[in-house]
Amino acid sequence: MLNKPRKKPFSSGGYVYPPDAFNVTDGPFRPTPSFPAVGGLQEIVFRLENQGRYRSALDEVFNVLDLDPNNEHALRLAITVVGDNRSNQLRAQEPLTAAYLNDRRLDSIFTACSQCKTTEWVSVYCLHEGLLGLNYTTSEILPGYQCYDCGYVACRKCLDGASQNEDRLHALRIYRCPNCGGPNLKAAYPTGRLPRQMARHPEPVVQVVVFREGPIPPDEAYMAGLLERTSPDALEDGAELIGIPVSPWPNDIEKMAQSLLFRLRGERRLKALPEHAEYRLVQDAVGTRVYVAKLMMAPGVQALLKRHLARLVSGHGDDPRLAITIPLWRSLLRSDVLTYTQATTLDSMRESLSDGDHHWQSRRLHNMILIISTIPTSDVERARSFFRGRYMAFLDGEVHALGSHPGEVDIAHWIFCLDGVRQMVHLTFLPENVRAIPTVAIDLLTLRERIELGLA
Amino acid sequence: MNDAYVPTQRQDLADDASSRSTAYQGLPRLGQCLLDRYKVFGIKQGGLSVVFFVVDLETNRKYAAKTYRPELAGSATILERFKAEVDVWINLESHPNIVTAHFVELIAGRPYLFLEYVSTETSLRDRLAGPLGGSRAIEFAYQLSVGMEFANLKGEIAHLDLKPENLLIAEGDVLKVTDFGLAHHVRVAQGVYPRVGGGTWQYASPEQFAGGVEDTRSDIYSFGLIFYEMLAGRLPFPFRLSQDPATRFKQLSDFYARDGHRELAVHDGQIAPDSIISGCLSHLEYRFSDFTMLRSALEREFRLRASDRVGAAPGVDATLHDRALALYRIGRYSESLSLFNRLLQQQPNAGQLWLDAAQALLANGQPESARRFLQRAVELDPSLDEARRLLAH
Repeated sequence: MLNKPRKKPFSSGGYVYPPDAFNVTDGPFRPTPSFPAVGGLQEIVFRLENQGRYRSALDEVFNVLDLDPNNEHALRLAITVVGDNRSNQLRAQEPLTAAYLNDRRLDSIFTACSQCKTTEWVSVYCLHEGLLGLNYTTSEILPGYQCYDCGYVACRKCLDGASQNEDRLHALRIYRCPNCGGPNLKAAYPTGRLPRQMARHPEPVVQVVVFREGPIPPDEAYMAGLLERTSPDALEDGAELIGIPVSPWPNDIEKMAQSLLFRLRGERRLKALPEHAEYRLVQDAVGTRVYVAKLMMAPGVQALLKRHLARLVSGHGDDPRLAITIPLWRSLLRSDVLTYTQATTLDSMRESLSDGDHHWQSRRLHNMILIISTIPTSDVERARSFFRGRYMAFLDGEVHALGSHPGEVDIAHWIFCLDGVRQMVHLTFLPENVRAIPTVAIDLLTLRERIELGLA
Repeated sequence: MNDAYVPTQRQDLADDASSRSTAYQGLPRLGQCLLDRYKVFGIKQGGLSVVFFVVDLETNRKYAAKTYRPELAGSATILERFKAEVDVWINLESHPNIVTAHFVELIAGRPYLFLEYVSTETSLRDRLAGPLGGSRAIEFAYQLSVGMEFANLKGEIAHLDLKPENLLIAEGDVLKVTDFGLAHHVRVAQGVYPRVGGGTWQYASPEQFAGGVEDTRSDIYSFGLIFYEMLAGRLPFPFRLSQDPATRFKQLSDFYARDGHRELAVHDGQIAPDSIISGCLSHLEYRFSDFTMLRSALEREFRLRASDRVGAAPGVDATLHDRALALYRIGRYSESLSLFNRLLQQQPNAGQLWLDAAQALLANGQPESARRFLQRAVELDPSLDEARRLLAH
């Protein structure tokens, strides 16, 4: 639901924003004069961009947006990557693919033409506070303009197509707003765009069922192509793909799909409950109707973990090591890691709540040792007592028991503290990379331990 | 300029081949009947391909059937390029300013792309003995921009070999773009944008010489050169182009290496309005970004209207079935199955369609589904021996 649109330009610091009456989505990106930086992120993104590695650069940005979807610094960097000029993109080692350009996490930085509603672009000019005051209406280089009187956005093609929108000054064309006729056209701010992909959820996608109109069962290559366009997170999570031909196409595909899903569930072929799914009707490249059911892992601890990681990101502010640490923290939300975390938490929680003790399980996953603890209290003092002043020794013991040593692998320890009142989560994350930020669940250390570790 | 970048001999081969008259071994000869249906009445040899003019004895329609030259059959690059050409062309809908691709036939294991036959066999080159005259030149330029705009409607395509020889002039002075041999979809494939070298050098853009970016804007540059040539009767280079291909390449690469195209973009506006010529021949970033923009600039400058465009051409669209078979014959099974799937919704009782789809399913590694489809094909049309044979296996 859109907020009540503003009808007049308004400002924030040095920026003067046009009226937002023609915004496509609620809360499109708006730059502000001062914003908290994510330490080290800009250096990494600019280096990758200069090397023509646009996809890797956006991956870095996505790591942050996954934890903090409205992070201004990350969105600003996304604008510079996506808005880089076309020739650079074409020459690039890693040009942006459609999957990247259509990504839901970028919807807020796009500007959409209010007239044709098909042309969309990313306006790097919106970042240049000083330049926005200039009048660009005689310029040939902008893909479109925004009227600062009414907020209407028009792309160059729409403006060029209607000669009544222009005046002539010698050889220069001067455009006028097709909506209000005013001359106050300048570089556009983002309006947001309608989503091209299905929503991303905190829970990993475990299965996708593709119902395609017609008698031929959709094959893997077809489904992968479709999902790359509509839901690339399913491919990133390694979800299983099931294709079902639907012929004839029913009046109520939703109902039919639900009954087929329940049949698959009865045959034990579903890995998640149909209730934890997102559904969407799309058209494929040849115009055939396709109904996509994206099944996700049941909601559990993911939101809690994600919130905790987002707090860590904002807590470390402009620490220059932050950008190389975020992908390591982000790996805690990887599908296989999350599956293990979720299952183990449930097991340990049951035991902790029944015997009132600390329960934990450890496992090596790729280059990470993951330890999951549950403690039957949310009180920090009491929680600390379960480790008896030997928290670091406890960690060492677990790492050695798995045949490794600190410094050889990433070590992550989630501690879930819960009782009938509330639940809390703590994280110790000791990265193998010495340039990344180590995090210790400091609340669980005694004063002596803190002094020994130099944290007091 | 990239020193390591050398011409691909495309033009050189063409020059060489055009003087040859001997038929290729293993390829059809004049008068021969292909697949007991298509009778060859003409042969034209190009740089990389051979075109056979055939008449369909069942329908009496004429086609130009194009395949690659036999000595290039072992080259994976040539095969891939031919497949890319089929992919681009067969997916274009019919348009009066583009030579229509109808279907692909496998003849003696070799794919032939069956194209619209243009009876005049005249190209713009044949009309370019001198300046064309303003109104004719503008008309042809407009038709070229409209055709290229249409080609780009469903996704950007770079033709990369626009030149007068590839612009056929049909009856009624209808210009038709042909030869998508170097064309590609401007989209990321295997992680990067595809690169194609070549083209005819005097119509190539500076970035093609540098082995760099090749998208629609390279075609816009070629358009600018062709438009200039139509108006002035010569190309805009400030030197005489050599007849020798190697010397010509050196002349042009030296010219572009010293940013000579800046001189082409700035002129006195005598030939055509600055906004059009400089909009085509300037630096990549300042060129018209696509043919829609160019076409609308032409309309604006010359007060042309959309109604001035040529009407729909007679002839049949490349049907969905032909496209499905073409994709199957070039090994694009999954895409071919998407089209068969659509066709079967429209014609669920056509036994032949079920058989064709079954063959694509088999090729795509879906034998269980293929079996069901073969059974359905036999149920619908018991005379389909091929379906029975496949079922027996």
